[in-house]
Amino acid sequence: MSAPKTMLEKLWTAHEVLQRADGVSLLWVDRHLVHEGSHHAFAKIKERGLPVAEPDLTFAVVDHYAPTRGRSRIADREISRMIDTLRDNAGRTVCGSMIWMIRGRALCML
Amino acid sequence: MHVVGPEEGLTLPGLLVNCGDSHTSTHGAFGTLAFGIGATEVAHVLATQTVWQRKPKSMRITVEGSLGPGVSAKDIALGWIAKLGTDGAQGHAVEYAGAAIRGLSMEGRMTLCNLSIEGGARFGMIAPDETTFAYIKGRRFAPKGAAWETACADWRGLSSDEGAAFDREVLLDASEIAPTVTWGTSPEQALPITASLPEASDIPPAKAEAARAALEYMGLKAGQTLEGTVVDQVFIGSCTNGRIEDLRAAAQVLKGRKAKIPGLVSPGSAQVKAQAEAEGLDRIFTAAGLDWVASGCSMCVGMNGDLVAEGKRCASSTNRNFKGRQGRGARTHLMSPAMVAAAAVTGTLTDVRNLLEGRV
Repeated sequence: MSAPKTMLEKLWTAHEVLQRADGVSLLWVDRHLVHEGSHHAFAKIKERGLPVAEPDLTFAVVDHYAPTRGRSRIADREISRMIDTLRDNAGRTVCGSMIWMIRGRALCML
Repeated sequence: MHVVGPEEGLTLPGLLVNCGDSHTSTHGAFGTLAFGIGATEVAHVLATQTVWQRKPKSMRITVEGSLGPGVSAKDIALGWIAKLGTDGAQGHAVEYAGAAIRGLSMEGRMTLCNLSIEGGARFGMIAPDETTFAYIKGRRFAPKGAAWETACADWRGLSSDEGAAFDREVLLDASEIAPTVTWGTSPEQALPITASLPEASDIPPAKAEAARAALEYMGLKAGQTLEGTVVDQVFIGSCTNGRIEDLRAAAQVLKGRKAKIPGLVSPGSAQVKAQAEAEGLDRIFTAAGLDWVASGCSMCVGMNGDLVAEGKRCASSTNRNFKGRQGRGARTHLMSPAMVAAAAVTGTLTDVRNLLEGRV
C-alpha cells in the first residue's frame, strides 16, 4: 500500500510533465486567465513569432482597468488603451460589452 | 476574473489555474492548484501551456469549532496572517481543514484562499466536498450528464489521505476569532476590533520600525483603541469580498440605516450585480446613501478611476493595505464586508456585532 498523500501531492503528480535536475517541475496548465496587465507577455510571444498554444484554455477578462461608471464612453485614454490592447490580444470582440474571447472560447464578464 | 472563473464553472477541482495576478490563489477553494505568475511566466504559458514551478512544502491550517455571528472567512484570514506574519506560510502550500472551514460557503472559502498569499503562501486550497459540488453543478463550463457523476467521483478522491504528513501544522480555534481590522500598511498589521494599537514596547524589535512608519502613514497613535477611529469613506467589492454573500452580509447591517460617510459598492462581476439587484440589495445600499456602481477591481487597485484621496481613511473589504494601494496617500483598513458596513453606519471603525442584534 502506498503512503498517504496530501492533496498537494496528488494535484502536483497529476500535472507534472517532467522534473529538471534542480528539482523544478514543468506543470501542465488547465486554465490560463489573462487580463489587461498581460500585455507584456502577449508582446513577448509576438516578438518571437509564437502563437497562443492553447487558445481554448485561455480566457481573457477585463477587470483591473474596468471603469465602474460611464463605461460606454471611457474618457481616460490610458484606461481605454489598456482595455483595447487586451481586446486586440484576445482576438475578437464577442459582443458589445466587455466580453472577449481568445480564439474560440468566450468568457462573459463585467 | 477570480469571481468570474468559478462563476462560469471554469474553475473545477483537480485543475491547475494560472493568472498573472497574485490573488489567483482564490481558485484553490475548489481543490485546485492555483497560483499567480509573473509576466515572463505568462508568456511561457501562452506559448506552451506549461509553467515551471518548484513544489512548495505542505502546510495545514486546521480551524476547529464554529465562527461567532458577524465573524467571517475574512477574519479567519486576517487572524492567521496577523498571528503568523506575512511570511508565516512562505514557501508553503496551505491546505485549510477543520469544522469551521467545512462550514464555510464557497464564497467564504474563496475569500480565505484569496488572502492566503498575503500570508506568504504559494497556494491556498480546500478539499472539494458536497458544498463545492453544489456550487459548481449547472454552471456554464461545468461537466454535464454522465460526465458530472464521473467528475464528482474523481473529485472526491482529491482530498488529503487520512494520516498524510504535512511539513507544518497550525491549529486555530474558530470561537476565538473576532472581527478583525488592519491598522497598518501590511496585512499582518491586523488586530481584533476590540483591541488597542500596539505600543512600541509590545512589538518585536525586527518589526518595530515598520510599525512606527505604518502608524505615521495611517495617522494613528500607538495605544489608541481601534474602535471609534474616524473613517472618511467605505468600499465594498473586489475579488476578495465582492461576491453575492459578501453583499448580503453588508446589506444585512445597512438595511434601514443611513451611512454617515460616503462609499462605493462594486459587485465582483456582472452576474453578482444582476443577482444583487434581483434581491434588492442595491436599493438597500443606495437608500443608505452609498453609490452602487458596475463591477470590476474598482477601488481595490487604484487604476480604473476609483480612488481614495490623499490622507483619507477608507474602510475597505479588499486584500491589500499597502501604501498608496487605493491612491497616493490613501489610508486603507482591511476588514470584512459586514465590518465595512458597520463603519459606514457609525462613521468609525466599529464592532459589527453590536449592530447585528435582531438581524442574525
